[in-house]
Amino acid sequence: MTDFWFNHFNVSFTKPQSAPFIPSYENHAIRPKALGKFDNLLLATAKSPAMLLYLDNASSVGVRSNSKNKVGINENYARELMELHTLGVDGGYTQKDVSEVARILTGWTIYPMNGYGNQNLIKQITKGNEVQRQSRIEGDFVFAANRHDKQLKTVLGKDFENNGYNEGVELISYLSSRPATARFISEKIAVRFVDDTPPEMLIDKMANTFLASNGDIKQVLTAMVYSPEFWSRENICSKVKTPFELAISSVRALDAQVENPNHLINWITRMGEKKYYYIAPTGFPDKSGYWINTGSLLNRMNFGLSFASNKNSGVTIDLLKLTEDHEPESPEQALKIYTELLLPSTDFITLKNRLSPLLTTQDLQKKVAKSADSNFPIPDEEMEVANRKKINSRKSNNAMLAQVVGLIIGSPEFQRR
Amino acid sequence: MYTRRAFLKSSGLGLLGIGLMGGVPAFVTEAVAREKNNSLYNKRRVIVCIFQRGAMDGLMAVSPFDDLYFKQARPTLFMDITKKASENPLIDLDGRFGLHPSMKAFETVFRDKRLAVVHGIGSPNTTRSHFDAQDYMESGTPFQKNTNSGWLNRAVGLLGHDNIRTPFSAVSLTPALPRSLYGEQEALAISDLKTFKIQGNVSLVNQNAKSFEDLYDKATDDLLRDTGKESFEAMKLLQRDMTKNYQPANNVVYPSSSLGNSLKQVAQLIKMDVGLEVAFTESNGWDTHFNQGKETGIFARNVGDLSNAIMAFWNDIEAYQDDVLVMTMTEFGRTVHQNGTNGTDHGRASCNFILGNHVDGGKVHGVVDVLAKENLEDGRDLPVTTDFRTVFSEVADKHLRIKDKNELFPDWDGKRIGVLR
Repeated sequence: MTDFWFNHFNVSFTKPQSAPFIPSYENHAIRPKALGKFDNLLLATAKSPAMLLYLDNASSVGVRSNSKNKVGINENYARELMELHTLGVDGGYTQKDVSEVARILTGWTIYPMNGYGNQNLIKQITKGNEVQRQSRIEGDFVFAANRHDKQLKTVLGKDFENNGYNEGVELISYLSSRPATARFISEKIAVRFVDDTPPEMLIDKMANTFLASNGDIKQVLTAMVYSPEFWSRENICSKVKTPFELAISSVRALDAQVENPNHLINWITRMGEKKYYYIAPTGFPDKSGYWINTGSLLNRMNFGLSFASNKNSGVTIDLLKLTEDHEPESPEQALKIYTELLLPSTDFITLKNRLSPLLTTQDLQKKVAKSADSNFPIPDEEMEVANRKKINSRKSNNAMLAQVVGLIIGSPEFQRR
Repeated sequence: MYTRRAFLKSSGLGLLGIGLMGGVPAFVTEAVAREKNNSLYNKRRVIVCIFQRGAMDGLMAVSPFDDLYFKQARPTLFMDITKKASENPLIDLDGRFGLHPSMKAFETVFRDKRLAVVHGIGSPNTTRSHFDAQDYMESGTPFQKNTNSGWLNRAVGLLGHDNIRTPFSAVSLTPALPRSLYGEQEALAISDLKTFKIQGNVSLVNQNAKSFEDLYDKATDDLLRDTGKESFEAMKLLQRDMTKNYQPANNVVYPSSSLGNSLKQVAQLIKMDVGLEVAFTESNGWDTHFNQGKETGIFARNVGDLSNAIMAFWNDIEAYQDDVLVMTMTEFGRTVHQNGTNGTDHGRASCNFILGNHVDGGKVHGVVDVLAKENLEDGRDLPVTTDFRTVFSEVADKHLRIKDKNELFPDWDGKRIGVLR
């Protein structure tokens, strides 16, 4: 769910101001609240420096009639807060609401550090006047009362009287409790876990749970998993794995040891998902068509081959260990063993029928043996012939196993979840 | 929505020569039939966009050399026109603007009226953040952060001939898809076309490719089966034509830079005739806050690379020039005054270059006033007098023949300045 929420509340390393705060954003703002109440999570993201800088609210200042300063209101965050984080684009708000939300959130900014944020801010808000009492400093977050627009605001018909920082908190809880939000969030979760176009019935159930539980994410997920739609045949394996999921499912299914993830990350990028670098606040689109195209698909196949052959430095797989040392003696046997490991829900016979002609009739073993030889020449003339044969056969067998596993990882079946 | 697109071979070249395993596939025959219906009035055009990331100092690239205010503003960075030829003076373009001497490669095409400069170009949004300004320029919506798609992706969708679309219609020679190509239309991001194949040990590559091809061919999953088919067809086309030792035409030598390498691959794609229509690549290192140099130095190297790479490309594709247009872009310009470290800071307007046979070239388009303080934006920057959408939309219309401007650049009034004939 952390992954889901990060993408929902996307921020990006491409924005240098925001970048230093992103690791903490994921681990401290999102992760602890990923299964809690939605409004708490939303509030945590709203106050995080990563988001405040990414969508510019940190620089948004209420317009005062007596101000000489040219800086003013910035509506970026206000708009995305409603369009992407809560109500959804069809959530029934207007441009006027966007401006009013932006006014409510004026003064929400970051504690100045390392050149980010307004260095004079702290001086100003600790001057010991009325402003000081209304201002607020919580870690990296600052509510600067002197930047706050104190006039009356109205959002979706609800009035917000001048109440400083609390206006924003109230706003976030108000937006979190809208039926449009319940539906928007429920649908997005269902798209993530069930299908690109999830059944309406399912979304209704989840949205009702969302409203009845005051946005309890855990209960919404439970409602989803307990619904018959979640388990219906057409929704099994209907989602395409993201490149990240493909890589991680390979690591997990093969019990791979990841000592250094860099190589893996490069593959994930090459397959089309540059993690933490998606520029737009929308996050990566959660649709099969986005992930599967001619270029990315070839890279998925190449990833499979590369991964299984232990060419990913920093990742080690012991294919033999996985078979509990019952070393498969033929490609077909290997196919059976590893299909059970990697694709437990797939009908092995179908896959075998499609792959086995290739495995048996096209000299796979011979070719693999040859490739293994050329990879690891054994020049020692003295070596006992029998011994050499044994080592060669072991190596060619390992390469054969890698071949089979690579094909399974790159197969159409393994691209779905 | 994911839409299926047939993978087709485009007009003319080499249909009979395709050495596909297992004979000529059906898509080739279909392509021939469809291309016949299209080609007469809708021959494929190619746009090559180069994003100069970091914000190019347009005033140093194309300098108003007779502006005394400018000379004053840049005590150590101002470049003279009056030097002897041996001293690398600016190249006088029109009596008012001088081209940086490192861009000498551009001189011929400028004099031939095929290269145009637009000066004072930029975004109506006054942000001086690289991130925001690039984002706005690439999405094509300077006040909207939430636009899902990039303008080039929308352009692909508006070309109006889905039936001859191929996996190579939109290609970015970058490791990840740029913002300009985000969107509904399929776009390929690849930094090296040679890697567009099944990789691995030589003796196994064909075996693996064949195995995967069979697996995907028999997949019950439509999306994966059809995309798989496209992938293998595209791969075979590329492997057939991407020779390891590519020989550019006219004995052209590309700079051995990242941009040179990218443009070389764009040229290969164009010559292979695999359906390329929108190509994107980028050039980095333009954020010259420190010691940007004059005749030599960082800036000179950058503009040298830019112009040499573009001209190598242009001469390499000589036979295709009528259908190709190259356009550069950069997120904003730099301050008129130099800063305290012999560089320039983030400003507003810059300039861009447009190269093509139907460009109204040999001119510096746009409006650049005398750089007196009162004429500057916020008293410091070259003001934006031409919205980048003016130029992008004109190129989309006249070169790519895209008529639906409102979808390409929503809320844009469609003004023109006539950079294309």
